[in-house]
Amino acid sequence: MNDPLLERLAALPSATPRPVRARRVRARCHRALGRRRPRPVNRWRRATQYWPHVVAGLAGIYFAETVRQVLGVWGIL
Amino acid sequence: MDRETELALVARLRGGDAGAFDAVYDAFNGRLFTFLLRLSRRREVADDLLEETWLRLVKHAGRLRADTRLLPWLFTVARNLHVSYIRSRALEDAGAAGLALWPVSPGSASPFEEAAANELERRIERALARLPRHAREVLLLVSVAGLSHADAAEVCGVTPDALRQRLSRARTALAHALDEHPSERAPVLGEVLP
Repeated sequence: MNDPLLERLAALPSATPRPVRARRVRARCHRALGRRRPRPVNRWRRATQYWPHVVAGLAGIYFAETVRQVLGVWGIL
Repeated sequence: MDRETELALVARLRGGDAGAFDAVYDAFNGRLFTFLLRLSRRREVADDLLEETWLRLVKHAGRLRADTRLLPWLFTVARNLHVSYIRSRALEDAGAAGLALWPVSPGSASPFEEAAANELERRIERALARLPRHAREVLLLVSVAGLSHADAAEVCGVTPDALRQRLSRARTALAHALDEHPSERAPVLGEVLP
């Protein structure tokens, strides 16, 4: 920056927030961060998320067995 | 703050690390506050907008992109909050007969004017306060807060070329304001209207 006017602007004093207010903001943000930190997934929740796949698998086996039985009755198998 | 440190802080922030927040807060809080104070010319407004800026960072921390650049991100939030504040105040005060008296009564000095060490600084502060918001904002971002033209353009939502033009016009306006009103207090109406 070679502009004297802009250099004067750059040299203007900076401001500092009041310490009490700054501490309050920091504490508030820490609390908010603590709230949004991801909670550990508990074991029951982890187990239940696989249930649909287990049920779908069992249903598939049941259906395949039913088809096999029907074909057996008709003498195809 | 070098880029590597910044990326590491962003990664930790995304994980909700309070230590990372403190590091970012310490690095940018002063600059953000100075920017908001010179934009609003009111300490309590700058305090509130600054607090909201940090709360937005915390709220969005988990959704930050891994390559987020914190300086423009924070200044964009601070600047947008100030724009929203001005709009809401302008709406609130639109029907008031004393619109020209808001936010500072004529003759009152900004916190910076009161603290200015010498007459020249005082004159610059007054001239800066007299500029339209767009002009003041771009001068504060580039010359005072030290953002690059590209970063300032991102903050203002304009192209780098438009930013350069805006900066040039703002610089001219500041020079005129300094020449025209060497010792007069700043009028305030221009600050209120978006």
